[in-house]
Parts: sequence; structure tokens; C-alpha cells
Amino acid sequence: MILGLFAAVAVLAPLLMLRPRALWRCLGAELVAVLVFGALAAFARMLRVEFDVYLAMVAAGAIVLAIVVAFVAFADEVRWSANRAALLALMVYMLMVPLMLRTPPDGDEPFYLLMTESLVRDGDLDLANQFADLSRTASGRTDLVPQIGDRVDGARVRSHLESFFSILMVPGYALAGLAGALLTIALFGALLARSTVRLFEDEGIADATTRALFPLFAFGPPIVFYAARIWPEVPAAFLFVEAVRGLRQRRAARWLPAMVALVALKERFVLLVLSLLLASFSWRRRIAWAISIALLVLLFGRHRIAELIPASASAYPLGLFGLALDGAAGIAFQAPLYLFGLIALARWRSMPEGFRLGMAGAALYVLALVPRSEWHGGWSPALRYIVFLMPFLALGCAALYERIAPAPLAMIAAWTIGLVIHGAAFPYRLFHIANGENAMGEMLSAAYRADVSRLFPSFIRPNAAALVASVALVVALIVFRTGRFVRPAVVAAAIVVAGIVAMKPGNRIEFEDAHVVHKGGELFPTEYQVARFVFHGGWIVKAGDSMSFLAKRGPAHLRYVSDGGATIRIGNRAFVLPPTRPNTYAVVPVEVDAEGCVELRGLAGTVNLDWMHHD
Amino acid sequence: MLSDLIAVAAVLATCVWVARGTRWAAAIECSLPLLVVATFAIADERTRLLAYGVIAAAAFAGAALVASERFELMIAGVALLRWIPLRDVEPFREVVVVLGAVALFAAIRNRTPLALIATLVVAAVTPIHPGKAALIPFVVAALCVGAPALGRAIAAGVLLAAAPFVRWSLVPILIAVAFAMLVPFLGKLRPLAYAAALSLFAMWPWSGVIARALPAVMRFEPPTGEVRTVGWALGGGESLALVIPKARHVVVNASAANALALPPGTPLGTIEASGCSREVRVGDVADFGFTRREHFFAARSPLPRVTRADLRGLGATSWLHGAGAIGVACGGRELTLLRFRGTHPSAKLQIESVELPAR
Repeated sequence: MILGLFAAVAVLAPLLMLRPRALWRCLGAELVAVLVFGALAAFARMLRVEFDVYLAMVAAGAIVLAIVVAFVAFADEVRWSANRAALLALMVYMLMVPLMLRTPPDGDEPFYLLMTESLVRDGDLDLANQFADLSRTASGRTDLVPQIGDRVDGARVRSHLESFFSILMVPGYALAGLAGALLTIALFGALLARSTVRLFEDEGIADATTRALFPLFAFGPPIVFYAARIWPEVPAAFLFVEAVRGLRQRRAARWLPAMVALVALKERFVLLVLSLLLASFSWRRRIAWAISIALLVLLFGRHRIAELIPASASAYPLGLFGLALDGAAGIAFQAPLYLFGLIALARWRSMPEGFRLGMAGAALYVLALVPRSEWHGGWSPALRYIVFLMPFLALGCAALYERIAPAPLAMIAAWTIGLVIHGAAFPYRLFHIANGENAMGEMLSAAYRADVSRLFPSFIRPNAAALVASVALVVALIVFRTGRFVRPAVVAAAIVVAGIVAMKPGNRIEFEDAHVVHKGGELFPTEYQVARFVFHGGWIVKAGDSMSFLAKRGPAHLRYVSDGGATIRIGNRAFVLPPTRPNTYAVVPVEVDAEGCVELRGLAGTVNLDWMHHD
Repeated sequence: MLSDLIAVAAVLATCVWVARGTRWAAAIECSLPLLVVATFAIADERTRLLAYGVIAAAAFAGAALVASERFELMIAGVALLRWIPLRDVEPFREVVVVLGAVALFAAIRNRTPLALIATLVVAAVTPIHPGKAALIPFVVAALCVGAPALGRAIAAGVLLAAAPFVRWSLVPILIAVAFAMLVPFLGKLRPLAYAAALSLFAMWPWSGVIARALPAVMRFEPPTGEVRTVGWALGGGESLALVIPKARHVVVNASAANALALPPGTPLGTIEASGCSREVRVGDVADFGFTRREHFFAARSPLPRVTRADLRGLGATSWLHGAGAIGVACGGRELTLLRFRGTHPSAKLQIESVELPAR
């Protein structure tokens, strides 16, 4: 089915978007690509190259479709309109749906689906009977239990998730089950694509610029993944764009229902609505709107004002820079196009009015989000909490587009294609446990048995790379003109240097990381621990378990927790780790007697080892 | 190997250079970080080399399509196809080939991507052993300049018609020359030509095999059962008995030694099993090293009918081992003993391995 859908999109998309001359060229280029991939497959077979056939097919398909969207972006003879863009997006999202279904829905997805199923089958939102008979759920998840926060009242179970999103999926689900529910989201994705193109038009962005950026926005992460999965983020993005467009056009019939639906979708979006209203109207009306909405939410909602008060001031920079730069959950690595949106923020005065309204509308929300420990989205595809903001970051990018040198754009396009291929082929890897590593770092660390992950900035588990990247970002925000010095050749040289550095031992060994070779023991907390990000990750070692890793010679400090104390050996030296109070970590000095691959072995007792830091 | 990688990077830099000033130069330049990423991220050597091949081919194709002048690109392409590994380059002969390619590229007047492809194909298949064969591109250039269009078309037709009847080592040259002569007539077939060129160029890490043994791709069949190495060479009159577990059929991988000059069909030995006998001839197997650069032009062996594609070496000096896979069965009877016998007075039959059926 996937091949059939792909062939249909590969033929229909050019027919929809291109005029005859460009159409024939595009089809010719697609034919060449398909023939080349076929020949390469034959060569690879002869060479006995072992590769993941599924990944190769997804990659080949993505490259063929990249050819189509490259024609849409750059050819002279294009049939371009917001409606055609929406249809193109719908086609691609429909192709993404079966790719995403390679693994069962995850995170909040099966719970939203459970609510939809309850509405369709029972006409209520009581999930008790759904949990009692999970074999009937279309998600295929028979391991579901009520989530933390769900209201369990006797025999009734009421989800803590807002029901409006599930209601939206009811018609689709009633018609075609899970596929219908997903196609509903894909339809919202297409509407988002249309609204975004309209937004660009409203704000005076040239068609050529819109066409050039449209593929990176609509078919790049995070939109392309969220448009084919059961999350409310894409409908929210569509409604947010419509709300801003409505306010800009002073059409209450557009912004009012959009805002109401936005809040119904997720209560947290009330902060968007409040900010938007505060930024849009006269003082008297602003205050009236703000007070009414705040009262409504406080009376009927589940959130409290106290949630807006941060626990610590240091949480702000961590969350803010994390959203921008984190290797696993930040814009720079997961959706790099929007880095230009951040740069646009630093050029506030010269940006389009729509951009400023959208970003101002998000200000309160982002301020409330960044100090939370779950700023990175928790168990979800990356950038979950700021997906709604992407159309406006893209607008900022579009406003800067004429000034941006081709080299950074080309690299971002290449990286985006890579991200889409990776996410489409391995949808389960869109979810990453919040342990401070990321998929690429883990892969390279495991391959080289060296701590490559430390070179990727992490704000989940802050590291030195995060500090360097933060400084670089601040400098870039200030000095960016065109980005012409960020050339691929320079990046290639930087990767070579990084590769050489990565092969040497780092200053800090996090014992649960991929570069550590574990022989026995277990991960702490367990991989799928709910709200895993609030724990300190570690590796539990019992007597007889061991692990090996690259380390420097000399004194170091070890952080651990052990109720009854333990004895470990590092290299040829044994260390007694005194007992700690429950859940209270202790740091003790240790000594590593040799540089290189070092073995740590548990000799007695059980200890949860967090990290070892070289002095 | 590092020097080879640097040479590849230099070729990619040339692609960026010829595409400078176009909107695609930056995209082509992305091949440099991709090359580095492939170096670090792909552990398996063949997969990594194939990735290098694809990256270089994509960059080269991009540059060929957008560049206004493709002269430097042609030289870079010849270098990539012929000069890697750098340690095995025979400078004087290779310079002759490059000059011949320059002459040919100049002779094909419209320097389109098709002309570039034709020049690279001729350069890739040009042997440098014997040395005088390195002059082939000059001959083709002279034909392109001297002959009228109709004459070139007729000549190309004659070369293509002759290809099935000449010895295998001449076939790649005849087809490449015919292609070069047909360039002005192939406008409508550009997508096919581009696809073929791109695929073959992506195989530059095995350019020697592609130039001298391309049909191996179609004749390759992977082993399906347990492979037991034998490694025994049998001269005329010598024999070897091999006890095997009971099986109704086995596959014997065999090659020949000292058989470069033997024409197809020459008997080399026999395989006997359970009262049945099967003759092994040149064609079933080939001289083990006949696709090596130094020996290919003089060799009369054809490629084996079925090959397990044992590829050796890198780049222009890569070669396909001449072993062929020979099925042995005896009307459904169980085989327990294989007896190999060499019959040729000067050549040897080399029994490489025996493949038992998958259990």
C-alpha cells in the first residue's frame, strides 16, 4: 500500500503543481532517480552490502518526492496557490500516515484515540470499559492503564486530556477507524499549510519565497510528523494562524471561533489567547477579555495560576536555550529551518506585523513553558509544545529569506531531508527518553565506544557543549547578516575536528550513556518511566555486574546512591561506597589508574551510579 | 586510504568550483560534509564506499547539469574513475589517457552532459596494458572529428553488431566507442543515459569492475547454503576426492589458473559425483585474475555464467575473481563424494569452495 500511495503522490503531485514543460522535466528527473535507485539496489546486492531495505526504500521515496518539491520551489512554470499547496500537503501527509503506523501510536496518542472510541461506541467519555477491554482499541495498545492525572471515580475513568480533540476525530474514526482518525489530522495539516500560505500572502511575502520555504515548513519536522500522528498540535497551529489572521483582518468571525477552539483543544493555549487579545485591542477591551477568559479557565479548567510561578530562575535559560539548541529536543537539531525564525526575533522591528503579533501572542505561553521540567515535550516527537509557533517562525524566516546566503539554506535542506527520512522510517525514534543524549549521538557513541554524545548540546542534562552553543547562538542572533561564512566546507572541517575530539575520553562519564558497555546491571529509571525527566538517570550495578568506558587517568569524583553501601572496582583499585540516605545522592573521590578503556565492576552491594567526573 | 579520501574531496571541490555562481553551488558543496559524515557514521567498509560513490555521483551530476563549462569536470571525473587508489596510478600512461579524454571531449563539439558522459565512459574502459591501448581515446576523437554524422552512426552500428562476436575484453571498448559516436543522436534518450551514467558513476569505488566486468551484476547469485572452502588447484591428470554430507545437489565454485589465453569452451576438468560426470569449461569458470587491469586486455576468457561476485581491490584496480558457480546434481541421486579431475595440460582447475544446500 505504501508503494502504491508513493507512486500516486509521485505522479499526481507534479500534475497538480507544475505546468507542462516543468512537469515533463520533473517526471524525467523522477524517472532517473527511480532507475538509479534500482541500479544501486542491484549493485548493493552484488557487493553484499547489508542495509535496512525499509530505510533504503523510505530514503529513495523521500528523495524522489524531494525532487518534486524542489521543482515546486524553484521551477519557473508552477501552478501555485494556497489551495494547491494544501492539496499537495494532504497528499504527502496521507503518505506519511501508513509510515507512522509502522509502530503503534505512543505517548498521549492512544489515550486520545481511546476517548474517540468511547464517544463513537458508547457516546460518553467514561473510559472504564475501554480500559477493561483493550483488545478492541484500534491503536493495538493492550498495555494501557489510566494515566497520572486521570479522574478515577469508582468504576468511572475520565481522562485528564481535553476531549475536544477526540471529538474532532469522531467522524473520521466512525468512517475508517484509526486511518480515518489519522486522516482527520492530515486534513488539519493541509488546512494549516493553506492558512500558512495565506498568512505569507497577507504579510506581503513574495510567491517565490513562499514556494522556496513551503516544502521545508510543510514537509519538514515537526509539522510533517505531527500531521500524521494523533496529537492536537497541528490543529492548534492551524487555529492559531487563523486567530492571528482574523485579528489582523479584524474579522471576529475568523478569530473568535479559532480562539475558542484553541482553548477547547488544550487549556494551556489560553495563554496564547490572552496574549493575543492583550496585544490586539484597546486597553479597556483587552482587560475585559483577559479577565473573562482567565475566570472561565480558572473556574472550569484544570490548571492553576500557581503553575505559572517557576521553581527556580535558572530554569528559564535552560528551557529557553533548550528549545533552541538541545540535541534531542531543540530547534537547531530537530527543525533547523526555524533557527532563522529565532534570528528574525532579534530583528523585531523589521519583521512583518503578523510575525510580531504571532510571537507576541506566544510570549506568555513560552514564558510559562520554559521553566517547566517538561519544556522538551516529554514522551512525544520533538518540539511538541511549540509546534503551533512554527508557521510564525517560518514567516520570520521568509522575511529574512532574501538576505540568507544559499549555503546555510542548502545545509538546512539536506539536514531536514535526513530528519524526515529518519523519522518516517523509524517513527518510534521520534520519541526519545529524556536522558541527555540524542539518536545520532547514541548511534555514534555505540559504534565508536566513545562519548560522542557530549559534543551535542544538552539542556536536559546540561553539558559544556550546551554552554558553547548558547554563546554561539547569542552571538549569531546579534551578528547574523547573511550566514555566508557558514559554508558546508567549514562544517565538514568542523565535523572532522569534532570527530577527532570525540574519540578522546570526556571529563564526565554518565554511566547510563550509550558509549558505556554494560555487562549486567540495569537502567535507572526504567526506560518508559512516566515523567522520566524528573529523575537523575543512572545505572544500577550489583555485585558481579560491570561496565567499561573511556576514561582519563587520575583523580575523579563519583556520584551515586546506595541504601546499603557498595564496593566497586575501577581499573585495579577498589573503592568502598558508604551507604546514603534513600534517594539522596553522595559524591565520593575515586582514582582512575590508567587512561583509556577502564572497567568498573561491582564487588559487593547494590549501587545506582550517576556519573564520574574527572578532576 | 586517507590520500584517496582527500582525492575524492578534491574532486567534489572541483564540482563546487565549476558550479560556482549558480544557485546550486551550495547544495553541491553539501557533498563535503556528507562525505565526512559517511566516513564517521558508516562502519561497514563496502557500505561506506557505496555511500561515497552515491555522494560523489550526486555532486558530479549536479555540477554537470548546472555548469556552463564542463572541462574541469571531465578531468575530475577521469581522475575519480582512474586514479583511485592513488598508490597504483601509473602516471605516464594515465596522463596519456587524460590527454586522450581531453581530445575526445573537444572532438564531440557540443559539450553537453551527454558528451561528458561519453568521454568518461571511453576513458573508464580504456586499458593501459598494453601501453598503446591508452591511445584509444585519441582514435575515437579522430573518428569523431573526421567522420561525417552518417559515417559515425554507421561505424557505431558496426561496432555494436561486432560486440557479441569478439572476445570479452574488447566488448566494453566497442560499446563505449559506439556510445561516443552516437552522442548527437541520443538527445531523446537523455533520462536513460543520465540514469545509467549516474548509477555507474556511483560505483567509482569499484570502477575497475564496472569497466571490465559489468555483466557480473546480472550474473550474480548469492550463495544459499553452507559454504565449505576447498582451495585446491588441479593440473592436467591430477584429481581430488571430497567427501560431503549427503545432498541431492551442490554448487562448486571453481576458477582457472594460467588460462588467460584459453578461448571459451576449452575443457579444464571434470566433476564426478555418484556416477555422473560434468565437464568444466572456460565459460563456466574463468581465469581467476583475468579482470585485473594488467591482464584484462590480453585475456580471452569470458565472464563466468554464474558468479558469486568475489570483488577484490579498490577503484580502478578493483577486479572480479574469475570463479564461476557450477551446479552439480545426478538425477536426484544423493551425492556423498565429489571427485574433481584436471584435464588441461597447462591450465589448472582451482576448486575454491563447495556450497551445500541450506538445511
